[in-house]
Amino acid sequence: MTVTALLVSHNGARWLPAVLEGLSSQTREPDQVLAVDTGSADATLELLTSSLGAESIIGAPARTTYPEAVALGLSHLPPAAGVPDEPEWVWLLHDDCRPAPDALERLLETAERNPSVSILGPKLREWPSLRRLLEVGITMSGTGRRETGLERGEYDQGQHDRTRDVLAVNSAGMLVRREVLDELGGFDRRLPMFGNDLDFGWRAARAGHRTMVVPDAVVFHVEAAHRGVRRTPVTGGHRRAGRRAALYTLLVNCSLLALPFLLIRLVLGSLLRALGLLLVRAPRESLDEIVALLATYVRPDRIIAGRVARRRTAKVSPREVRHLLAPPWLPYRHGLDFVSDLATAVVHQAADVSSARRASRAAAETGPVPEEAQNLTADNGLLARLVSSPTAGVFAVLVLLALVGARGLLGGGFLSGGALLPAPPSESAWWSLYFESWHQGGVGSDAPAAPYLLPLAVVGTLFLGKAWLVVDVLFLLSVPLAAWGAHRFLRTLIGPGWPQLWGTVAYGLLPVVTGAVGQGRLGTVAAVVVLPWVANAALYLSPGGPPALDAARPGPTSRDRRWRAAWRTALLLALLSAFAPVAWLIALVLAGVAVGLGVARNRSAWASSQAWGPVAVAVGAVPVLLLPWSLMRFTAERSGSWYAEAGLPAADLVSDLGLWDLLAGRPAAGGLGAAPIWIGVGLAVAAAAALVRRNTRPVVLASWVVVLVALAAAVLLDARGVWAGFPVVLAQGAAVTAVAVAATGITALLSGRAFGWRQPVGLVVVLGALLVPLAGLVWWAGTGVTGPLDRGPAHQVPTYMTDAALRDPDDGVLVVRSKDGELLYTLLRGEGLRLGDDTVAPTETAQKGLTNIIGDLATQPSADQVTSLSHYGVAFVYLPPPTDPDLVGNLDSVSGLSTASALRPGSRAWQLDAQPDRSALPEPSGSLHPWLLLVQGAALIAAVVLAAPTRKVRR
Amino acid sequence: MSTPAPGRRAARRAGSRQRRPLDPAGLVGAALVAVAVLLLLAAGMVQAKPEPAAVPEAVPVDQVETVCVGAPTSGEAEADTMAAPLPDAPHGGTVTAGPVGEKPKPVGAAPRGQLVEIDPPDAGSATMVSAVDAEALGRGTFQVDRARGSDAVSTQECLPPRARWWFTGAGAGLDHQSKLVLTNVDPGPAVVDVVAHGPDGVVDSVGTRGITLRPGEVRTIDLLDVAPKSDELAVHVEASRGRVVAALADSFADDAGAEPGQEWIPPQDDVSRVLRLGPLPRKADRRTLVVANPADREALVTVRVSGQSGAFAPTGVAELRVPPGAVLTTDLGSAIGADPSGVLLQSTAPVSATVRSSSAGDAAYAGALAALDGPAAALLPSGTAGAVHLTGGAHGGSAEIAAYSSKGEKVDSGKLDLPANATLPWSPKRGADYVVVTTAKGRVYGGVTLEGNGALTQVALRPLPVFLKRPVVVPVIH
Repeated sequence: MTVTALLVSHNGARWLPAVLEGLSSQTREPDQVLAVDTGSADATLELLTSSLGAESIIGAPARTTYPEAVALGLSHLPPAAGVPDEPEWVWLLHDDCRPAPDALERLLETAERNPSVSILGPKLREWPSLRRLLEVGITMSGTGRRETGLERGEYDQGQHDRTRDVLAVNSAGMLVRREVLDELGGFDRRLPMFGNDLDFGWRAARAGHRTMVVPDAVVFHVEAAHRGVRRTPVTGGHRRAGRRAALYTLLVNCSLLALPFLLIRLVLGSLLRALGLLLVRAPRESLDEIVALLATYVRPDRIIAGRVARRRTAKVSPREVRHLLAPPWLPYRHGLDFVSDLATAVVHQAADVSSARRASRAAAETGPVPEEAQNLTADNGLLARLVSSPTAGVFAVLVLLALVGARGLLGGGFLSGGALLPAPPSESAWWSLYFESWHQGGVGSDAPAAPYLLPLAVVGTLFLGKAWLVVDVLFLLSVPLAAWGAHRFLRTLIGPGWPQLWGTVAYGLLPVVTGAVGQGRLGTVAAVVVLPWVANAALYLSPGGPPALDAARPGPTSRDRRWRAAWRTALLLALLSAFAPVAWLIALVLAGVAVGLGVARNRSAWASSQAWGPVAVAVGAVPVLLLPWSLMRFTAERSGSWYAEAGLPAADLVSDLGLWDLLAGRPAAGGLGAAPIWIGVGLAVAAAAALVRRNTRPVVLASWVVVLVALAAAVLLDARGVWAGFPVVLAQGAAVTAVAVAATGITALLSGRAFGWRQPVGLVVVLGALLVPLAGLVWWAGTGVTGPLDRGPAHQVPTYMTDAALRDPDDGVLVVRSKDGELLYTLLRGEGLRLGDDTVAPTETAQKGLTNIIGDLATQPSADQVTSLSHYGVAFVYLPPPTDPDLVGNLDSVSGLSTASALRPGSRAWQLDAQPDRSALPEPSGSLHPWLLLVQGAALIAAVVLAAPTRKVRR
Repeated sequence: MSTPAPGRRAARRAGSRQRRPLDPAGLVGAALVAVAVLLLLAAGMVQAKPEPAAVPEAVPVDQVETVCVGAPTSGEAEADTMAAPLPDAPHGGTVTAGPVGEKPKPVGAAPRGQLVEIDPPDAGSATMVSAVDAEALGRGTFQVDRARGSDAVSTQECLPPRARWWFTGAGAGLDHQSKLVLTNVDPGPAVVDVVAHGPDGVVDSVGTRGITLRPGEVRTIDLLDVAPKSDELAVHVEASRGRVVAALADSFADDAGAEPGQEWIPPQDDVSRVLRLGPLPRKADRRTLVVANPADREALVTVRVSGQSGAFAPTGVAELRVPPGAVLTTDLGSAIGADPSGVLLQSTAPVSATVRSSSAGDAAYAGALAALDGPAAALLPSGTAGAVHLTGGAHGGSAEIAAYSSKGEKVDSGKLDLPANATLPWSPKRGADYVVVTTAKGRVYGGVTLEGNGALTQVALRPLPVFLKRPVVVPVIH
């Protein structure tokens, strides 16, 4: 029996001295040692030469793969003697694996006891820990996973010490008969670095050879290439190469019968894995998965060649090898373990955050505690919390007042009026609008749905499809919802305390005191709710972290956290901009100001992309996240598409803003639905006074910059005659922030100073500031929600018309209103106009033909015009009161129209005698919409993954 | 022993001695507040630029339907139709005429400007004249009714159907009786509400709401059945479905027991806060202003007379208070002389009004005048002396007048420059059968008075159908 140790090395000088020492200290020394060095650039060659002698070293180029290196080594051996009783063994070693002194001896002992065994492998333990198990034989699962049967990081306590047959053993420390190597042609050269040992074992098994793991023989392995510690020209990306090798190994070694199934399974499995990896924020691994799949599948010739080669050497059927493979259920168990691990981690993280907050609060409560109190168990009951926690009390009051304030809007029917259309019967309408490229409403339209329909649809689905509930919750509970966000933001900024509670209530009341709720301004109401969360996320964009006003808070933000904050801000800003697109334009300006100030203060620090990058991502990603709307609307309307908020323009409710309107934060025309102006003036005074305090001035100044940008935006929108709800609300929110920041610890500050002008002036300012939320609460509770918002039936036309329109989309209802000498018309289909339909309404140009017909009917009616009307899919004409007598007379006099029932007093209705058809309606054309939706979906997934907490990648 | 701490005053003095260095952040803050104030002030000054209001488009008329209504009383009637002699007017098209409800017959082709006589409507019936294409452009149809056995003449322009009509100056008494003639020329039924207003308010009547007129039906309603014993009435006709042509034939005797004169009361399109009434015949024994206020509040009506040099307030009747829903009658007395004049009313509530000029044996009604924003024409029946009376608008105006023979030959022409609210006459030469008035500048209102042998009548000038205002139609989301 002769043993040749074949050591393959490449830049392994770090580990080689120990490896060579291990080799030289073997209790059964190899008969010959050969080393193949593949172009090492470090001291490897010197180490090998000094230890083994130059005659034992075989040089090879740097791009030599492991199979080639082994083949090269074998070629330098004298020809095999071929004596049956004198087997020739080859002991394969890596330059990063150190055999235990008796490793070879144990392997050979086992080989002698089991003469039918052709391949033997040692137990691999981790180096440098030396105790953790790496492998005790290996096999492969149906998904291509390398199965060791070990737990991750499992310590070796002899629990797996059982000599047994396995599919394969690692090439590090593998003892293999030379004739088997020759018979099988060595390792597959298509597997340059990873997975060739598994493939070799599988091939050997098919060729009728036994492979056995010998736990008594121990080899310590660094796994330098697998762990990415060593990069060689042939490793490439180790994850990608490993996965590619696994797919190849599976496809070339599986049975022919299983091949089609496996081909499909591997595609689906790889996609699922890629998605899973994305969800756990491992985009690179996900990409590796996909690229490896593509690289394998685009070269079927390699698979075929590999299978042909294996068929030549195979001597036993795949069935006889199957018992050596991993059981089929194993991948599913891994999947289950993965999900449960993830859930556990999330729960633990939430618990950690919660306990950290509690600890922080407890730390703030300093001072002696009575002995009895120390022994009392904490009472966490609802009533106890309401009584003991001002925050809980405030929110309870806000929720209660929300119900009181909405007393006129409770009951059956749909909320609508002002700028708000009634909600659709179910959230599926929103999904359809969002995903459809062609909308049937009116004369048909290919306009992209507004981006706010996506969050509405998602929430609607969570609400079990009750779209009306989404609108109700948003409008009727807008105050507590807005207050919730403000509470969170102010806690991050100034920590808990009375200023935080003041700010919470003052900001929370904005949806009602500004008149946004009363006017049915969906965009403003949703924006008020989302805005504090955007601001809270944006606080972490600064390299220094949130302003250090709260001593208990952690200091500078880590790089990773800034990037996560960037993606979180981008997501939330996209959500905000979905409802109030002008928010993105304002954010662009604010980001520019922030980066500009940063560069002015520290040019070198801000020159790095790590400094400005997160800010750029936070605003730059928004248009991509808002696809397809952002691109398609921009190309159609240019920047104008970013001005209007969600909901109807309701231009009749918009009037020129005056000084006092802006000062008090009242964007509503004539105060319709809004609180009296005097209630809001105190906030402006307090915000100006907040600048006086020196130690909080930087944050207050930043708030004032936001106020100015928001006011400028409001003035610009006002000049265009567009509702300026969001800019006004933003200015108010920034003013609330300034006051709350300046009020932090104000009592102690003023009482600690000598009595002077500060105390009386401070008292006046504080009283003025207190008046804002208190008077607002009283006004809200007293008057309730006023304005055009109302609850009622959603149908705008007689029910029989809606029923007919629902039965057949061609049976449209043409509604014509007369106002100030103009005829305003809407062509309704199905349920009629519901929330979201306004965003996909056809353009005036697309409706020009219909407009002309109505103009003709109002001027010189004829039967031909009625026929033309029927070609637009019109079955009914409905004139709600007050009707235009001339138009009524014309429609009464023209042939082709029959009077229909209209129950509402003063209204008139006609039915067309001709059967409606769609011959005059435009046909759907090709659209970028589906592709842009795909891009948006990918962007959303990427942003969510990148915003999620970082996963520690373990190898 | 420790040194005592300095008192507050000492501390303050010490503090004041240590002047704080200028804080740049404070300056920035002040600057930000200043900019905010400027922005707020700018907000007060910046006003949204209103989008230019869409203007109704003027489209050439290509179809006209007018209805001449036969007088309920017996007499002689004639009717003429013509396409006004408009410059550069196209040719072509067809004209048909015939009793409502029957198949119309083509009217013989005639050059533009030539009067074509058509069969007049019989008593209690109506004749519809339809023109399409170029023949519809400037189409005017007129009817003249002559009382049998007297020289009294009444004339009116045949009008297209519409949904709303107002008549003021009607009566249902012994010496003053009126009959309302309703005609439905459309292919569908028309449903009409007739509301009568009397001196005491709205007259409660049975069977005047929801009157259904079949297609082609002509129905005469005697106001004696609607509001008996009411000498002064205003009648409001509103079609809740379809359109009708309404005409109000009036029979009025100035003196008790005298033979009443027959006249058509001129219709008013709708109630209005500003009304110009005219033209007033120069010779009249009595002039009575009748004002109806359908509103539910009192109307304060200012009366002015448009004389030859402008408007002036007549003595004694400068201001009227019309109770809600009621009709008020005022004798204008000597406020209006023999000079050409009109009446200008300004009211706090929309009203309907007319001036009745009466003399022995006849009466004439000066109704609300419409601004002549297009060419207008009026017939000059034979046997009468016609005079065009034009009134300038609030800023004055001017108009060109041309008189034509029945064959369409121009026999006379002239131009009137009208000071603000002034009324001036223009009399055509003999041989003129009709006149065409075209506004040259400003706003002009007017009509034609016809006098002869003690007979009084007048007809208001209405713009001929040349252009239609096509309403602005806008697709909206509501």
